[in-house]
Formats: sequence, structure tokens, C-alpha cells
Amino acid sequence: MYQYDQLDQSIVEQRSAEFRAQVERRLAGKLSEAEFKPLRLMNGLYLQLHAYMLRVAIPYGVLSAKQMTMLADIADKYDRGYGHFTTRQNIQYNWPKLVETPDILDDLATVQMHAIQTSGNCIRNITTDPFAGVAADEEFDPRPLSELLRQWSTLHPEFAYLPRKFKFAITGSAVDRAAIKVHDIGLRLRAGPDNTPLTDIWVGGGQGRTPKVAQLFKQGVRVEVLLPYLEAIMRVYNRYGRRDNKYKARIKILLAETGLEKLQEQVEAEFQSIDQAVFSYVPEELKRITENSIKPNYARYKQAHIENDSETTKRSDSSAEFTAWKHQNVKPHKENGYVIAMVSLKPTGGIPGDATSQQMREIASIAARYSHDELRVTHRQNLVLPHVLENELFEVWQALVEIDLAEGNIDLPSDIIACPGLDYCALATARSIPIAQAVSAKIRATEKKTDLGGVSVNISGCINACAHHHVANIGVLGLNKGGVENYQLTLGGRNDQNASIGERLGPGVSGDEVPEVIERIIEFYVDVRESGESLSDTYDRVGKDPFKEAAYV
Amino acid sequence: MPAKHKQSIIIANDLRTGLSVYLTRDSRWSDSVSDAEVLSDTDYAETRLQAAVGDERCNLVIDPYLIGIESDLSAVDIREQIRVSGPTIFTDAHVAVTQAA
Repeated sequence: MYQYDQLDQSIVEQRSAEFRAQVERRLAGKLSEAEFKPLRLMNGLYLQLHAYMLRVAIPYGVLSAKQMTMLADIADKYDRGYGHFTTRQNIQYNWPKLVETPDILDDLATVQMHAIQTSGNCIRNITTDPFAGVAADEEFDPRPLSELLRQWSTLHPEFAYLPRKFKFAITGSAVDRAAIKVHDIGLRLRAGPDNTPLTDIWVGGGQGRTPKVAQLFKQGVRVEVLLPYLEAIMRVYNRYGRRDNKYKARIKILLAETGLEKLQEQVEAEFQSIDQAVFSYVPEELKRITENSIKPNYARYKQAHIENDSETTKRSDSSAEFTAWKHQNVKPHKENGYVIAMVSLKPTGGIPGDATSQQMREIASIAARYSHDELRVTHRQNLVLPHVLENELFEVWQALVEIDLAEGNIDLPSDIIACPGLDYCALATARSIPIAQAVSAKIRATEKKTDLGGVSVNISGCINACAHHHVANIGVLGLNKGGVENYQLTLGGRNDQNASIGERLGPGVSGDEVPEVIERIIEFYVDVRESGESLSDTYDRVGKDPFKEAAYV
Repeated sequence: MPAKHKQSIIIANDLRTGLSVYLTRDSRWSDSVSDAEVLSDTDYAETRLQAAVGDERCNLVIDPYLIGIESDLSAVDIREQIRVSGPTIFTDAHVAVTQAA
């Protein structure tokens, strides 16, 4: 896990001091709201339906136990005792006060955290595979590159006022757990000749009102020249991206309007004009980042804890609940004897992505005790204990049970992504969280009886698609039709290496009807699926009409 | 006042806290909707809205506007209902499970 150097630390401290002065000027009436708004947004502070909302960056979703504890402390000290983990691997607080926000940023800075570029038309938080560096199937660890991109994009003077927000995601595995093809730029690190890392660049993915799967833009870019190439893409986008219509301002629209070939030519010309010597620091910087990162000492930990297992293993064998949780939430680790333990933030009937301060504090303790002091946040709004000794898994599960975080439903239909929706968001047109709660409560019992792996459900409260409904097997989009909430369903979406956009099933339904409609869709899928098929695979095979007939009775 | 509504109140966000506040009859801002001045006359409502905009210029509140209400002070529009009453989520997951059963 990367540790700040003096420069990193001074940047976040100076930024916090700068924002404090801006808030003081706002409160003193020296800045109008129109003048202040872009400044607060650059520091992650929105004004939502009920209150301000502060979005705190968790770069590529990696957290230390100490940082998680600070997030819990902030929830108690400045908010209402909980936080909401987001699809960009960040955390949001729903009730901070403007007058206290500078204090929050100061507190964050003490643990190497900030809220820089969590909003605004700039490069947002870099996201990556939540199993980065530990996945058994990984070719290259994307974290050093993620950190390099974080540093490159932070306060980059050219890219502070882009036509629209800009999102990067990176994966180092063939199995895409970072949804790179629905990002403005998706990067796939892979092995080249002599096992040197090369990058395939995907451009123009995104969701919102014009969902697009990214196109393969450039293959096999050496990491040494990746930054100037990305800079060339950003410059072309900054120059030609539309600023007359915010709904047509993302790079996906520029790509669609310009055409792949022409845009590639423009980027190539820009790339050739860049003095690449400026980026000669990259290999050395990647080396420094790697050296400045704390690495788990698996062997030493294992040695120290190895005698701790026989009794625990016996007890675990007799626990059906533990076995079910392990089956669903535990993933293979690259290190022999270790596993990746996923912590679902989707308790049955609960609020997707929410954690109380007590849960945050306890999970931090569990991470400190059992996971080499480290946690991850996933874009599906869950948490990960990335380095758990398999012999200690039962103890971890027991600790999670104590704090109501032992739901064994990862990648099941009740593992729902939901945006804040109309309950919190000023842009939303319908509620999403209560719908997610009702769906979860209805289908969880079925999940425990029937294998429903391969069904994802995402629920967005407006066309901006913050819950990624377009790329869910079952997507739900909340709209307002004549003053009444109405929910459209889409089927067939995927957010992995075979990313696809879901297709609208038919007429919208009321919120009350959503759980039953989803239940019927799932029942039909279970009836007709073939071995190994996800719901979207089945949908592709049998087509829309049979699903439509099953859904609308 | 939204033309289709018989009555309205003025809502805004408090600058310092961000919380929803309501313009009262004596030109204060209260965080309780029960303190809100109920406006039945379109012209008067517009006058009061101008006063609220004046408070925005004085950096007391942000984005004041009129919302239509029913006789029991509940908002007509669902967005404003939620804004006035607070999130409708089930903070206790067990309640959601019970309701779904």
C-alpha cells in the first residue's frame, strides 16, 4: 500500500488550507454561491437534497485500518454516524456542515486522505480491480500504475476544466473486475514479449443517458510511454470535446461523432508533438512508488500464526453458515495459504453500500488483526479483506457476524448496486435505495435455496446511471412519469470483459411491483438456463420476448 | 408560486449547515416546516420569494424557491415531499424484510 512522501502530504495539507480560506470567504460574503460552487465541487462538496454531501477519495479503493478508523471518526464527529461507499470506490457523507468541512479535510490529511477531484469536470478518482496485487489470475499488479496516474492527474493544470468529468479504470487481469469498458479510458495491463507489461487502451465507454461500450483504441503501449499517450488523448478531448451541451460532452460522444480512425489520427499526431523526454521520470517513479508501498510479509505472518489453526478448522467444518459464506464471499489468493475475503455491505433488506461508524471501526480492527492492515472498496459497494490467512478465516467470519457484516451474498442478486436516488440526490428522479431494500428482502430467501450466481441487479434513480444499471444483468432505472415514480427494466447488460449494454424490457412498472417483476425474471432464468449461463447469457440465447412474457403477467 | 398549486411555502438550504429551511411569517428561516409561512396569494408569494432571494444575497440561504403544498403542509411533488420529510429508506433492515414478506 502506497505511503505518501513529503510532497504528497504537503499537497493535501495545502489544499485543505486553501479550502478553509475559501469557506471563510464564502461565509463572510466575499464569495457568492455561484463563485463558490466550482471551488467546493473541486473539493468533493456537493449540495444535495437535504444537506451538503462530501465525497472523500479512496484512490483505487485501497484503505489502511487507520484510514478506515478515521472515516468512522469523521462519521461520528461531523456526520450522522454512517458513511456510504460508492461505485467509484469512494465514500460519501450525507450530512456534513459547510462550516465543519475544512476540519474534516484537515482530519483526512492526517491519514493521507483528501477529497480532491471527487467532483467537477476533471479526472476523477482512479479505480481498479479490488483484488489488485492479490488475485490468483492477475498478470500485473495495477496499483503502481494506478498511483502513477493518481499523481499525474492530481491538480494537473491542463485538465482542471475538461468539457466534462473523466473516469479511468485499470485492470491487470483477463477477468475484468474493474469494468474498464464502461469508463472514459480503460486500461488493460497484460504481459508482452519477455513478460514486459504492455497496456491496451480502451476509449469512450460510459453510461448515463448515452451508454457506450469502449472501443479498443491502442494496443500494446509500453508503460514508459503511457503517460504521454494518455496526455495526448486528454489534450485532443480537451480541444475537441463539446462544451455546448453537457449531455454530449463526454469523450464517448466525441468518439462517436469523430469516428475511431480519425480520433486515433488526431491523438497520434498530438502524441508525436509531445516531448517524451519530459516523461523520462516514469520508470524511476514507478520504482519509487513500489518501494514506498508497504507489502504484506506473508511468510512471516503465516509462520507466526500457523499454530493457531487446528481447533478453529474443526469448528468451522461444522458450521453450515460459515461454509455458505465462504463459498460465496471468499476468492482465491495468489499466495498459498491465503484467501481474499469479501465483506458484503448488502445485508438482507439493508442499504447498499452503507456502513455505520461502529462497523467501520470494527472492520478496521479485523483488517489490522487478520488482513495485514489493509482493506479495499469495490465498485459494487462492498469491502474486501485482501490478505486473510485461510486458517484464520473462521475467526474473521465470526468477527463479521458480530457486526452484522457476514452476509454471504457476493455476486448474487441481492448484492445490489444502488445509487442514493431521490432519498438524497438532488439530480434523482426516483428513489432507488428503498427499491433495493425491498428487492433484497424478497429474493434473499430464494438465493439461499437456489444457485443464483450469475445474476446482477443494479438500481439507478435517474438517467445519469450512477448505479450502472445499463451493465447489470437486470437493470432498474427510476424515472418520474407525471409526478409518479416509474421503473424501467433492462436485461442483458454486463460489466466485465464482455461488457454489453442492457436492453429495455418493456413498459415501466411502479416501485411496489419491481421486486415481484425481478423475482419472476429470475424464476424464468432458473427454469430455462443452461449450465454455466449467466442471466445475460440466457437472455442472449432465448431473446427478449420470453423474458418479457415472464416478467409482465 | 407554482401556478397549479393553491398554497405554497418557501424552502431553501441554510448556507452554514446545508439543511433545508423554511421562510417564516416574521422573515426568519426555520428548520421546521410547521413554522413555514403558508402562501395562498400568487402576487404575495412572489413578493415573499423576492425577500428570500434577498436573504440569499445576504448569504443566509441558498437557492430559495416555492413549493406547492397540501392543506396538511405536505408537499405536492414527491421530490419536495422527501425533501421536507427526510429520506424514506428503512434504516432498520429488518423492517424492510418484514414489509417484503
